[in-house]
Amino acid sequence: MTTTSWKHLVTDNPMLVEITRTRRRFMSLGAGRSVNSGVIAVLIMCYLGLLLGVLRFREDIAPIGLIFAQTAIFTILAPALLHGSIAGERERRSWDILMAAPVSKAQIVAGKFLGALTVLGIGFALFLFPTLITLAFYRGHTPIVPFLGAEAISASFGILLCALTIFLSARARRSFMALGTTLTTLLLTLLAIPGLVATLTMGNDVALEFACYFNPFWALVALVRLSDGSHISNGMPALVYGLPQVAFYLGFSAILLAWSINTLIFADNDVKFKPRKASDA
Amino acid sequence: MLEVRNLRKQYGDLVAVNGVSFCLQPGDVFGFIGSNGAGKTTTIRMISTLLEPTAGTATLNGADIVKDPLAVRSMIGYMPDFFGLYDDVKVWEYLDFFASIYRVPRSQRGDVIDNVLQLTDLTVKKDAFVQSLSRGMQQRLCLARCLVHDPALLLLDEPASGLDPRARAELKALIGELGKMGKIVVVSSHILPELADFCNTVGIIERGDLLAFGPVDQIVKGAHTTRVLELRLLREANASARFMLDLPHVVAAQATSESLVCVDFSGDYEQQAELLKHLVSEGFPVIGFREQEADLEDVFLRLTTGAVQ
Repeated sequence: MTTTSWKHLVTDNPMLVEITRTRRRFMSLGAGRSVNSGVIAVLIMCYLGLLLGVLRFREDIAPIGLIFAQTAIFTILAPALLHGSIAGERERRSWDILMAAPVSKAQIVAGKFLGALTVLGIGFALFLFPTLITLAFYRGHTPIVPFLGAEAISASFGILLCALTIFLSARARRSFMALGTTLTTLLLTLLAIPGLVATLTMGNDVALEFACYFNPFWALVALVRLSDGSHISNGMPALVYGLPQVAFYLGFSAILLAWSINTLIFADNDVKFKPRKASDA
Repeated sequence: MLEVRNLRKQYGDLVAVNGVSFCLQPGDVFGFIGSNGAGKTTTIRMISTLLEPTAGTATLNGADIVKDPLAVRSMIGYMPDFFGLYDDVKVWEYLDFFASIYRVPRSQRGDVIDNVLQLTDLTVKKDAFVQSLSRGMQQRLCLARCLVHDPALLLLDEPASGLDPRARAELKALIGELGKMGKIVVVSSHILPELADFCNTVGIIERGDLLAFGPVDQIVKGAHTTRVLELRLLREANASARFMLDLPHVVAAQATSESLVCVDFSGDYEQQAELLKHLVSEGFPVIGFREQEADLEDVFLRLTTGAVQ
């Protein structure tokens, strides 16, 4: 990314106010925000419970288990936060108001993406603390390099989820359609397709490994097993696990974000949203 | 200055806006009149850079809507015919969000928000949630949002729709005030008496064609080649109508009741006085003689056919 585009999309992007908006929307407490207050209270209790559990059983909990849980939470959190990011704007018809403001489509997408990343970043930081405790005290063997690789896979998969949800939100007319499409996509790629491959190939490990290669949960298990010196199968070499997967997640995220921006242009060019009746004009 | 030149928008075979041209100066409050589907919203959406024109363009203070949309956007306040408000945010938060998007410096935002809230009479609702506001207040909040960056041009699409009479009156006063502040205000509506009250310029559009454009009184005068006179007589309304048909400048005369006659008259005020003199001298018992005031609604009905595309 050049300095100019970095300035345009990040440092000089007025849509970074989305970070503040996300914070106000999801993290504000007080009168009139009782749902927020309730959800935040439950989350705080869950987190304190996790911390207490980790401190109590620090020698028995494997760090990878917490990274696994973190990735699972990201898988739910990203679609929940972002499914309405663009479709919701269309739905409540605030999209036109935003489009008439002096911001580019790229700035809008970047602002929404960075707003979601902030929430994900906070989640990541919150999970890092108990994970580091287990890393320090876990009685089993946890080499540092696979641990870092696992954290990188979890974080980059979170980024990919944000990009995917924004992309599908940009393509959908309604928020719930964006949410449904995102969850269906995840269900298909993470569970249904590997399950189908496993069934069709009658337990062929190589085929299953190929089908699961981009599944972060599989990748986390693979990293742990490889760090023990064991093999997953006779399919892919150990080299392809870890950084190549992170690179894939990040690269695919970039493609989806660029496609989202392009989709916004498409959505605005009178083809997809062309008035269906003369009276709409 | 807003200069619209041959603006055209076509969807396949459908011509939504057909070469609309007009020019507005700071302080102009322009009423854009047309039936549903006439092309008002499409024109406004093109000027607000939301739709790309098929042909033609518009410039606002020298910035072209096609070549330099970002510059145009920073000078306009666009209020669509729907609220488009965010839920779960407070009034000041909503305005703060848009002030940041319009790059109002953080140090000035508090004052700017206070000023626009004061102008739109929403100061007491500063800490209220947006969804708790009444429809009229939400409309005023939308207007406040349009004003946070002190735009040169305000594009208000059907701003009074769905408002109660009091809210309408308040909105009209506010729009008039904005015109006095030197802003160009474009207001679209099909509630004509409302526009006539506070617009100094109007344009009538039908099926994408701008049929008339200019100051309200000029349009009203220009649309009527004859004036309608209303005569009240004690009796003999039919006879007086027949008599007047032979007089100069009387285009048509018809008794609408036993004591009332309507006359289409093409003469000036001197000739109008002559007409009255003739009637009285012939012994017709005239007890009332007045010219019917033409208004924007008459002009609109006269110029348009009611056809939609």
